[in-house]
Amino acid sequence: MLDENKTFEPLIVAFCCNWCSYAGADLAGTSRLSYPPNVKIIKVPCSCRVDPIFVLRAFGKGADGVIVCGCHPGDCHYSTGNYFTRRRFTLMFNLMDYLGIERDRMRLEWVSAAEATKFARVMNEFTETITNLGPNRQIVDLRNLPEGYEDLEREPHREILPPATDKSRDIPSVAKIEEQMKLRATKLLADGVVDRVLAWKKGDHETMPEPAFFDHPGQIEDLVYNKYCAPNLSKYLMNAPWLGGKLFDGSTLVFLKPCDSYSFNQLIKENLVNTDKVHIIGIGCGGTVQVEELEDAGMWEKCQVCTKVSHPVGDEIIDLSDDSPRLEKDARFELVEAIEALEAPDRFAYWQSQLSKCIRCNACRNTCPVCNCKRCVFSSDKMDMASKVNANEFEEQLFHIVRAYHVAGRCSDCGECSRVCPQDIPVHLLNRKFIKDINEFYGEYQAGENIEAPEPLTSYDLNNDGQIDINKGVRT
Amino acid sequence: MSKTYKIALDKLPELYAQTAENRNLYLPIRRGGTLNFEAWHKDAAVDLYGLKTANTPKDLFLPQSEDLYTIKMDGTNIEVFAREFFDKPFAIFGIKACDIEAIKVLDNIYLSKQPVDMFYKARRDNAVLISLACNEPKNACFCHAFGLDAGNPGGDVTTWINGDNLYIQGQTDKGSAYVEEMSGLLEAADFGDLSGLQANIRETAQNLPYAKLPLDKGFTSEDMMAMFNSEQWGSFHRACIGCGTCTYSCPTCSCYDIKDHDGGDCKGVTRFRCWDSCMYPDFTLMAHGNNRLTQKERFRQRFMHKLMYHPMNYEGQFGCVGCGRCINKCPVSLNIVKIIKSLAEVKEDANA
Amino acid sequence: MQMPDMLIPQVGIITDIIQETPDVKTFRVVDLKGNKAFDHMPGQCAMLSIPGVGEAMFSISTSPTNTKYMDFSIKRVGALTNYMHDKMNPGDHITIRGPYGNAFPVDDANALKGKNILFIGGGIALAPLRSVIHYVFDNRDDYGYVDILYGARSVADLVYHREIEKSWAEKRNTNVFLTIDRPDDAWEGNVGFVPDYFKKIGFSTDKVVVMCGPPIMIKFVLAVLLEMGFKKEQVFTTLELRMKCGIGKCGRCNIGDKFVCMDGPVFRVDELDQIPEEF
Repeated sequence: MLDENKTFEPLIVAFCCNWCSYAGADLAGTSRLSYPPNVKIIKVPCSCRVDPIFVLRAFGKGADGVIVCGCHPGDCHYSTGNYFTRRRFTLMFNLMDYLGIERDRMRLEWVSAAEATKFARVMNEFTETITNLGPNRQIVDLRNLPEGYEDLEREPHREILPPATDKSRDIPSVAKIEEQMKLRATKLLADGVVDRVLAWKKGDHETMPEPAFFDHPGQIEDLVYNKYCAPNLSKYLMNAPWLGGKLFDGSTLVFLKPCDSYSFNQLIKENLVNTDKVHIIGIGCGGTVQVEELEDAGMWEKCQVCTKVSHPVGDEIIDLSDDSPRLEKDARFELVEAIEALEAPDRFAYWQSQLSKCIRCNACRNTCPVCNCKRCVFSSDKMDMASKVNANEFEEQLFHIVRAYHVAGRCSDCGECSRVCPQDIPVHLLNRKFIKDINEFYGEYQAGENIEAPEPLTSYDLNNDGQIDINKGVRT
Repeated sequence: MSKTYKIALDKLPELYAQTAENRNLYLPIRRGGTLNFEAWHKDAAVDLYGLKTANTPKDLFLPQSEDLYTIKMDGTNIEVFAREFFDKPFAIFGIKACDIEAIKVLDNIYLSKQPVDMFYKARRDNAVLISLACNEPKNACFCHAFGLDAGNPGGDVTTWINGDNLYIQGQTDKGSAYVEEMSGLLEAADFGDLSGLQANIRETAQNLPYAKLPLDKGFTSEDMMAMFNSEQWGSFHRACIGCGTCTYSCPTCSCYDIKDHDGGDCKGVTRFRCWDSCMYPDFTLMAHGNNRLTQKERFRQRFMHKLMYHPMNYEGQFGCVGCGRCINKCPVSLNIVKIIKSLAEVKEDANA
Repeated sequence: MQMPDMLIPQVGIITDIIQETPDVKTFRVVDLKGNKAFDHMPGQCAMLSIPGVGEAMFSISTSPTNTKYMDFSIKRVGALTNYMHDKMNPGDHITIRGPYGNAFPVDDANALKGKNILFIGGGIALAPLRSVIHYVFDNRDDYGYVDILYGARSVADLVYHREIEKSWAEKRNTNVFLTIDRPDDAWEGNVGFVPDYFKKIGFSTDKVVVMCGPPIMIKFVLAVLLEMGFKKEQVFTTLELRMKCGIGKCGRCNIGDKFVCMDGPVFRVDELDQIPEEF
């Protein structure tokens, strides 16, 4: 072992901002300060240019450690660039830690043009850390099932998250809500206020209602609302190219459960729906249930811990009584905390065992209201993984991390991603980790609640943000 | 009919171990909370009572991503290195009647017409299919509608859980050879013991909500154009989010894409094939256009293929086996049963 | 040795590249030994690929009677074809597999053999027709009169222009009619779309029609053909769909119960009525 460690020469990638850190590296060179040759510097215009994917990619291409260097906060050549870097990498390093990936492999440091000594010191320290950690395999293996389950002793943790078991409560008001929905839908259609209605349609079986558009008052008798109406309708109102069809010209009446209305409000915030053409009726919700074999298999975890009882957006509200579940405290983060409480190798084993089940269908992405890019980065032929699996390609391994990161700060925690996953991967727990960290570090934020509120990842707070240790992920 | 044997359920780990001595063994294993066919190892959480695996046995014959060959390039010179065909014998234990039928569907597509798919054939030749009767078919099961018998699932070897014993019977030469190999662990049994169990299973299966589907109405070649042009297609797809879950979870969906992975100068280009879905917008996209522009056409293609085109090409064999996975998995509760019922209505309306 | 899979290509060499029009080049391909890579029938296709760039189906534009090499006339449209146009030189390697698809029924006495044949082509779609035309010329006694009606956007876009005028037009019992969409000072022939020119010429119906072209041209020509008394049974055409495997498995060229890579690309027009119009 010792011999192996001696011969291990880590590959370290350093992203250095052009104006400070790169100049600092330059000065270190001209000052004859030595730092290890293992460090390969990539010059970027600003530390803010470093997309977290760059860091992941560097690992994928064989780096053992990645360090991002930028100007000290306040010194950014572009005034504010590194304020965003700061938030971004705080969250990202925390997520990697959450996945059980050694967080010491990645680092963010502020190095000014004059700090040649600091640059050399940081690089020496970092190289030493990485040398001690040894070669990096983890991130490349995140979605691979280890051959023959080498890590068997970690397996007991596979069941950390019990599936939803609480039998749902049949809430009497839901049937009354359905009645009123039908009345309003018929009226609004008949009056010509709206041209169509978006709601759920009676399926061939009680448990199988499907999202549907109703074009005539005569069709409204098929409208149904019950605990099986889980699909979030908000995304249907967006012009999503993968959904096909022509852009609808007329106006639409849509019924939104509280969680759906948060998603919808987020779409409004992102200018992806035309609110002039939508009439929104917020409806009360008693929680939706998982259906297995056409049977109620218990309330979804997301509904058990749901805190969204009001509608941030809506022209009308139909919410009849107080018997919607109103939780006394926010229990959403209990599962996140349970994972955080594990040792890092166990966290890794847990996520590896979950993510290795992924079949790369695109259910989580296609259903996610904030996965609304016109052309998903994972549908790009340039990245050679147009919506499909590519076991050879490293980007493939990144799918969940990249997706979680892309929706960070915008995810309203509707939980649809986990609901639709055919392999029951708790995808939403990645996003929830972001939400939890955002709440802790930057103040409570609920995406979709207020369209005027600045988004956590595109804003900064000078007084607050400096108090967070980026590399440790804690408030100092 | 070949002889019937049995083994006590608590001795199954020995059977697994002995099976795995000479081959890889795949069986339903619950890992990370999900039931899938996975390689057996001594501590695996084998679950023979879970009704449906999330993924289907097709994964073992048509892996989601499979390298076909490697191409080394030296300047503009090219050298092609074919991958060796899969040559490790393996057994899959616990395949249900629907999935056995699904493998027959795949065999038809991949083996029955020239040229056969050698990659598939290599895997198929190396496999022993050990089926397991479904003691308790559930609501989303509708294999009965396709004439399958969940109580007699077929395969190379058929097994039944009856009381405290697993009953085993070889069905093919390959299967009988396997049973012979295991005979040290087995004791002779009377096939008649199973009659009660089988009757129960059949009784359950035919009384499930979707057990009787109007598949006799209009699913013949003469009706193809009428079905294709049915107005019903105008509304179904509106809820579809085009995610492809139904295709990937389907035991018979077998369309694939061929793509290149550029591993750089040293590794060369690996050409691989991977699952693809007709639900995806780029499935039929060509340089000069796309013949299925909207989700309506893509949605229609999937179901027409399963219910009309495949039967027309393979002597009436439906491309659906009634496993019910799409019923359980579709994010927006669209499923093939809704389509079948609705298309049959079209036919009835036309006749009325 | 186990039989290799049909998906595994052989390596071919580009021996010659001919610039046909500003965006069409003909690539001449032989195998590594300098021989023709495989035998084929007129109308069949082959999969060409550049590793790392892509693989696509192209029709073979030389006739089976040419036993030395195969030509592929390729228009610049997508990633692979752009690469071939921009980067490839004679001597370069390419991978090739095939042949795929059915063929024009050249040897079927109920179809083409012994008949008068009218070829109608538009743009780059003369490539698959060239294979049949060569075959007919090389077995001239087996066929009756030959008419070739070919249109392109402009003079420069006429594929095989020189060959048509110097060789095809000189064959016995053969008439060649060319038309271009846009007037050109250097052009003394007909100006107009193929269907209009077809009407103007007024062919008699005692012949079999072999037609290839963009879908819109096929649609309009077919209407004119039917109007002039041709029957659908007399007309053969080809379909083009996305293909990946070429052997009827990968599923993307499926229309109705047909797989275009196996059951096509050549269809008799009355057969097309039997499958959904998704092409």
